[in-house]
Amino acid sequence: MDSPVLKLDQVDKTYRSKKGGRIQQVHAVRRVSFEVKPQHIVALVGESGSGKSTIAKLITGVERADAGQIVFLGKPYEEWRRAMRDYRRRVQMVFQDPYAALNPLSTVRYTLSRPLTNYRGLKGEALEHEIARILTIVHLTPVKEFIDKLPFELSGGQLQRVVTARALGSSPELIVADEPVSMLDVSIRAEILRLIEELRREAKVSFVYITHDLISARMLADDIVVLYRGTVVEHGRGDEVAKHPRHPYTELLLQSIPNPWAEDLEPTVDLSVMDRVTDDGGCVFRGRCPYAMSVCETSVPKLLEVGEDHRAACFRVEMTHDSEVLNTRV
Amino acid sequence: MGALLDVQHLTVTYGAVHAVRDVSFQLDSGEILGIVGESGSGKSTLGYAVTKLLRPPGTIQSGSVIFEGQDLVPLAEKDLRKIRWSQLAVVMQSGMNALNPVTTIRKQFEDAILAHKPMGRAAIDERVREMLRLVNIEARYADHYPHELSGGMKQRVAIAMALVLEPKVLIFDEPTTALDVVVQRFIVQNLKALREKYNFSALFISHDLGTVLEIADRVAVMYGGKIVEIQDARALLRNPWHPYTEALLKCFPDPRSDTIEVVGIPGTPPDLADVRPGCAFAPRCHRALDMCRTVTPVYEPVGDGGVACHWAEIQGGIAHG
Repeated sequence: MDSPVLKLDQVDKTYRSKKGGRIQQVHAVRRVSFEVKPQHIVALVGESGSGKSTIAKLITGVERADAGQIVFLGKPYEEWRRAMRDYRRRVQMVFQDPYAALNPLSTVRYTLSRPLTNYRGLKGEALEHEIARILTIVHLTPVKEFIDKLPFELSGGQLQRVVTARALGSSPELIVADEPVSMLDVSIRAEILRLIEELRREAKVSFVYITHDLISARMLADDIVVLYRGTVVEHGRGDEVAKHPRHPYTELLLQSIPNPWAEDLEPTVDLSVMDRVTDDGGCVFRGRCPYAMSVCETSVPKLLEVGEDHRAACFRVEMTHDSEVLNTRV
Repeated sequence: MGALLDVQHLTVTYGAVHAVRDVSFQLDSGEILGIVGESGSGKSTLGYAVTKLLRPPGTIQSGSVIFEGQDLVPLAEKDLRKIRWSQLAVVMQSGMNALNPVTTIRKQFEDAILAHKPMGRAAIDERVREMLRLVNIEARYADHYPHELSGGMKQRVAIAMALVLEPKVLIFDEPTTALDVVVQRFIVQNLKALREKYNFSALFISHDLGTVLEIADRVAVMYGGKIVEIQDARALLRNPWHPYTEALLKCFPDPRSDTIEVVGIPGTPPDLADVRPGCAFAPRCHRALDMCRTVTPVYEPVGDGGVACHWAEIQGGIAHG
């Protein structure tokens, strides 16, 4: 078994801010654990406030975790801190908004030359050659048609390819892609998703793919981690989680996707009950959960196996699971 | 029942950019017409043009927008003001940011109501309470400021405000785009219930074909500034006529199906400054014929919809003949 490229172990992050003299706390990430195997794509799925972007910041070193451990290539993040330049070369990022992620005054050539010069010391002929090679990888060909373009001359899909090419420039082992297609038109999302798939296969890059879209996560990811208010509520093989969700929140996400093919799918959750802050020891989802029981008010459910490579944190699942286990034993 | 809103040959430009090109459609009484398209398709410009809220350099070059027998295009701003909100209301793309940040929700309702008809304090309070209840927001939020509400709540307030004068036509421009998927679902359900109660007609403009198909009775598909197809929503889902509609539908897989493939449409969206003849979709179309690159297809009415496509026309001819 290959050892993981990235491993998060019980990672915790709380943001503190002062508002009107009072200290406010937002517990953004709560004891999150998952790992990314070589050439795997792990999707972090959640809505706003789920903590998915905070996790991206923790992985890329923009923010520091309060507790828990982030291990990259077998070495804890603390050790990498003495070699941040090397860490940044190996862990790259693709952002949501390609229009904002590129300097409007820099040509494609200049943008792509930066990581190649800074991290790999390329210049002259070698630099030019490498820029052309990367552009070819992201299918911006013929190269001479794109290399001297400025961002405003390119479409959204093409810009996102340039952003991806820039991330590839430093030959990273891991790319964190934060909603890389949500700003793009539906018809051109596929080409970026396919590009990620190709890069994992051919450039041997592993990905953390952050999205609110369970469908694209299912298309792309080996594993899906579903987050709610900073907590992992479900985690498992991509198609398994997206097809047979076991946590009520994942179920709700799946049912909320517009589905004109279905005959009136009514969600099982009363959507008018929202945003009840439940930071007092119970299940984070109980305020919106149709199945909430008394135990959900007082204890936090643990992630338990509900199938092969599939775990969910829910007391209801825990109970049915226990009875299933009993049944099979009998 | 006649058309409540009859748009004929509407053309809108921003300088050299031809954003809306000879667009015609009718909105029937009580109907929700979905207008679907990707960025640069002209769908939002169409929404602005219908309400005459275009900002310069946006200009209506030609065509008419007939609302209850009256053409809005030549109408003066002061006459438009009487119609807007009370007869024809808009919920903007970022409706949640369209609320005034420095006044309470109640005050904003009050301003909208009083601009159109005199009403007493108690009656206004009652109305605000009623409107908020409709969109499932507790009455106490009337005295809150917009920043105290979540994004989904703000968008629901914006919808309630658009409804407060019981307009005949509502124009929704991407009302759910900036919201989380669960909240989107809630707003779509809410809208369906509101339509039952108020029997308004609506244009529902969105890039999200899945949502549009769920909420709309008929769907108009825009590409390159034109309407390329209009069909009954159910019929369009089963049997799209235009190859673009067909391709777009494939980008929205059934979330419950067993296998889901990554499907897109190869190529890039059209440049709206390009006014050469031919079909704007031809470079990306897998059914394109030679003539598609040189001859602009004409929108042909079929039933209560229609299609602008050489290939569909030939197919239709074969089917009929």
